[in-house]
Amino acid sequence: MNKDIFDVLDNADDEMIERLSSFTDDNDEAKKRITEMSERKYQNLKAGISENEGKDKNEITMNVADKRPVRWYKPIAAAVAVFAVVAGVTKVTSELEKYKAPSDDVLPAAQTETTSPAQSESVTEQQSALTEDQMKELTDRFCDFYYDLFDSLVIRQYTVDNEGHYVIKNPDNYVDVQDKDHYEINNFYEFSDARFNTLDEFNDYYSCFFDGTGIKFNAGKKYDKLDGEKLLFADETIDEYYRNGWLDDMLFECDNKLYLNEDIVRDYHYGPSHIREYFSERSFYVTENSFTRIRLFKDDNCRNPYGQPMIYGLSVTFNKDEDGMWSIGKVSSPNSYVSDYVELFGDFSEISDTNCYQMLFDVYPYPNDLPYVSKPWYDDSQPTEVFTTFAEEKPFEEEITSIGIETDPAPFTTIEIKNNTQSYSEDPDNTNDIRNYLFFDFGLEPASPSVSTEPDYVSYGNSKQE
Amino acid sequence: MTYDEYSRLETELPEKAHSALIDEYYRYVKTIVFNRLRSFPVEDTEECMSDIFADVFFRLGKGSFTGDIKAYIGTVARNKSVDHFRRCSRNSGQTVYLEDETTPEIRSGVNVADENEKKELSHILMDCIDSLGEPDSSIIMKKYYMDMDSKQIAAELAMKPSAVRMRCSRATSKLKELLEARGFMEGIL
Repeated sequence: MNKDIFDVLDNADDEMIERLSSFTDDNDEAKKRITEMSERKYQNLKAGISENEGKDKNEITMNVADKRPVRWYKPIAAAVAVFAVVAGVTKVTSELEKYKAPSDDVLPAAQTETTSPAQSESVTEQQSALTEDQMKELTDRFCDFYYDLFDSLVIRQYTVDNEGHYVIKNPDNYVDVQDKDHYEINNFYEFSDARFNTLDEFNDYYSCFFDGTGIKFNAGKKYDKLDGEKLLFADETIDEYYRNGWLDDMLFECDNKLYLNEDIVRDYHYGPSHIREYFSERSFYVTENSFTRIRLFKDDNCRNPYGQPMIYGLSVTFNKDEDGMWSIGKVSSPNSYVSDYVELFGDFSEISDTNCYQMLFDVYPYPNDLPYVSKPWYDDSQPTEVFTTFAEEKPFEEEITSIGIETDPAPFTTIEIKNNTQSYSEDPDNTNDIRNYLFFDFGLEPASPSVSTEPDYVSYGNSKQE
Repeated sequence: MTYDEYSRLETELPEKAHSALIDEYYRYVKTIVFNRLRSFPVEDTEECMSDIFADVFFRLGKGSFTGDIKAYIGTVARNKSVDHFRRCSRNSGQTVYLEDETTPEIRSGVNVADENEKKELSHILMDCIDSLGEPDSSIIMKKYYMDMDSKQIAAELAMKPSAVRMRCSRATSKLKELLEARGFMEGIL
């Protein structure tokens, strides 16, 4: 049935509202949330305070969405979880048009257009990493773009079938160029949007999202004809892929048509799209030439089998090119505690007892040239910890006694929890992948699992338990 | 709830008065807001609802009030919903064109003839849905109007998702027959 016929119910009159109200649910949790919000706003009204005052820019942009929330907390396929963590999405080749004074620009003064190459190199070497505010601002801009792309473009490409699964709306325009001999599956499909019919128009449109940052937006490639071979990652490009994300292979124009990679669509659906208010964010791997910013989002409406809220992350890496120009590299949107992770770690009650969440938040090439990081992550109210598997010392909750990485016979991660060592190995044939785990603790009361999983062995993609 | 009842309660226990008012008018307000903002995320709906109730608390708390409290809440709800619709549309980078068929219409400035036809169609649609009986009518509304999936519907109606899907399939076929019999064109069903 065509849902559009229900549009006649929009802007209903009083009589129709009465009829419709009989179908409206009376959700206690939602009612409680609204009551609390109403009380807060009422107190502000009484005090003459506008609710919007004091909100930062990011909070205000929470209303960017123009579509209903994506129900992406449904069980996620294991394959999706694997690829979601490397959800390279789009290439945003960005460059600094020029460095301005910090008061005028996001990025620090470092060089001018008239600086000679020698001087430039010298100045660049002296340049320090971006400040916290600058990194935050760049991430804000990226998020504006990211959400807009999701809301206005990507979400249109999917619909929901009777089983509640997302399916591609337009399978006739699907270009399957999967090749098992290559590293990544790159499937594309044609899309259309009234605002941009060409790649240039697409780039023009989204360039405005980076106005004032000195960043030039330039995504995608143009092909004269559709050639599946060009759309695949081969051995020689895999390193670049890991370093820079998917670059411009996520989007291309061919024969006056625009094509989008399936992964970008899929990842946006599994990313923190409907919850725009992050509760914490931190930068990692901060050097003068790059940094990775991770934002964490919590969905109180979606619980794992232990009654804990789902946690989602959005990770974006910014890189500076050799010539001092910045670009947006890898983007990933990991999530905590989907059923796959329960399977991965067997009986998850061990972790549940510690009130930990686990989040597979990145896959890096090994050996990794990025500095190892182990640093505390603080929520506004709760101290939390985050560390990577690269760290030798892991001062976490006492229940987790150690976490480390072994390299023999193949790279695998060891996590020791209450003397119960859980470990798994990556694909022995592919030593490039090392999984990093993000752990954090919200100090929640331990919850009894409603689901018990006791697999004999752990199987997850190509990984297996040692 | 009358204003006097609310006022008395608020004098003694303001929060209890607020809670009682929300309990009584929650579905009514949600219906109005959802009717305007159903293409936006649920967060926007809840944000708007909280604005409405906060405004109502504030206005009712300022002093004497005469008239039908429900009608007043309905008016506030409609106005706030339109405000939110405009704001959300603006923030999403989209321009709202009143003449755009895909844009939910703002009440003012619409074609009266079209509005009347739409109103008639909406009543036919609801008559047909009501005639399905429960739980089929609720399943159809939650599925197609509220855009809920089978699992969510099942949770609300205390049914199994498979049962929801089965009933939904049958109810949809039946609804199509009913609508066709009432003059809905086959092509739009």
